[in-house]
Amino acid sequence: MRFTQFFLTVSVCLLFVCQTASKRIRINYSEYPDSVMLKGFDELSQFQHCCLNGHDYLILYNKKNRCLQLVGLDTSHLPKSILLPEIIVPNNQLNVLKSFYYYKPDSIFLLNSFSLSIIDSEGTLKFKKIINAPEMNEWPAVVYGNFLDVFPIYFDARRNQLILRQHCGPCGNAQIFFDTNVLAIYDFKKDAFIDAEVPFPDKYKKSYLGDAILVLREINNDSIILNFQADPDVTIFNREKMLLSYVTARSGFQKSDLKPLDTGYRQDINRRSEHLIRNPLYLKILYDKYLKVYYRLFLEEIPLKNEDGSYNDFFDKSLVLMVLDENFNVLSEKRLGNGYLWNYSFVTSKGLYIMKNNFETLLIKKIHASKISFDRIVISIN
Amino acid sequence: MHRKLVLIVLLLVSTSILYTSCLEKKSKADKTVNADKKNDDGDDYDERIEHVVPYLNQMQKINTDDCKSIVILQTNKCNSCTKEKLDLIFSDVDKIRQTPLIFILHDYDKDVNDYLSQKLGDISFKILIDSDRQLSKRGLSFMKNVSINICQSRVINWKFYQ
Repeated sequence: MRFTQFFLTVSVCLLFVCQTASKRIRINYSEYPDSVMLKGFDELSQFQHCCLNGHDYLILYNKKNRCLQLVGLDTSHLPKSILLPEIIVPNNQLNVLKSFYYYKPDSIFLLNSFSLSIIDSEGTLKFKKIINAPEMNEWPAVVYGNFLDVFPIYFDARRNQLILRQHCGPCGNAQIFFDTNVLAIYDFKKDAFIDAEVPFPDKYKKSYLGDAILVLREINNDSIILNFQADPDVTIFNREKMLLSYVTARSGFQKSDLKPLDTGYRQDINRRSEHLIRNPLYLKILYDKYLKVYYRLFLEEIPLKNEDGSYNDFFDKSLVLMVLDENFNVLSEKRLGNGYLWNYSFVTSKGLYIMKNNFETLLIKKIHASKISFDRIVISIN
Repeated sequence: MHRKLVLIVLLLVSTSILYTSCLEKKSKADKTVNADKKNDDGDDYDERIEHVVPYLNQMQKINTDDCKSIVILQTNKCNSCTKEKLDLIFSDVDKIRQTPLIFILHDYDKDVNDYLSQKLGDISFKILIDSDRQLSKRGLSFMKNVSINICQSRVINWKFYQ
């Protein structure tokens, strides 16, 4: 009799454990097409999502007319266009706009190749600091920027600090590139850059991982959350405590670790590009303050050549949406498929927006359409 | 005693079912790892370049019985078709001019079009656009531009440009 009771208790417990696990991952996904109309753009570069007076806007930099344009997500009209002063964005390739951050109408932060500045919505210059030693013929040891356009600047008003990416200037793609820490903080009160001492993960220093070198960031209160492309771990830098921590949030769709690339291919852009196709890549991480979850985007590895003899390119890789709780536990994952420009993603109260690649070009190419399309992904957690 | 044994067996079976059902997703992923390794190829540029002949025949309806110089311009790739990169190709221009000249572009690019017209002047050449994205499906999409010389439907030689 006692044994029967024991058996029943153990069975109920096991059932409960499994039920709890399956309940945690019961997330419903719905996808809705959405789009915004763009007028007068012929190139899409930096962007920022912001919410003004209860309306969602995309702020896009229009290189053609040197303007920041606010485009309503719901109304599609242009409520404001901010002309950047020529002194900040001269009409040449020397001091290009790398990133911007619209904080409020009197505080718009601009990061150029050689300057950090603040303007207001009338285009009046309020602050300017020369950076990255423009007088030198080569880049300085540490360059402040928005490395490969995936690490936009962010202004932390509470601390009066700007968060940005730093990287080795003269290293090129040599292995010493990974000896430079990745995160810089500019303190306006001290008028100084602070190295936050966030290094590349060890795996980057031990072997050559090709071009899987992007570092992507999200900010949630005191935490700066970093994704390194080759690393299943999420890196969290706590600014209050100046502490680094790591949490493994590996995708269930990841079949193997990112494989090192032969160092003989270091100068071979074809091989480096194929290496990115064949390997898994962690991408952007976004915080959904409405649902208190993180979205982590992941690209599955695919073979270069399929069994039927056809070949794959980078845009054949499937995008996976991972949903993580606030402690970075993986709650659920969904394969979204290919055809997304994942860097153009943002969260609103209506869901997660990811841009669709509906024009047959890469990001750097001219847009042939005046409409950009998104998939809006709405999740509900039961 | 017999009843206890039955209960123990039942306990083991139910435990293993619960355990395997919890891990089902993981084992599915593990199986795929082995299948994926079979396709782990890559050092096959010669083989890939050969695909240009059936590509021209089937997709562009171009006869390849005679000799031709083909240049595939990666117009869809970042910085692959800057003036400097195109100038590199035209440093070989004397060799290129010996045979009918065909440029294959991943997509229409007015700047590249204008460059070619200006550079080649009155020399006859043809521009083909890969509108069906068949270059990448046939392994002919690279980060570098490539020139290929073919004769009698065979690749004679080929070269990547930095």
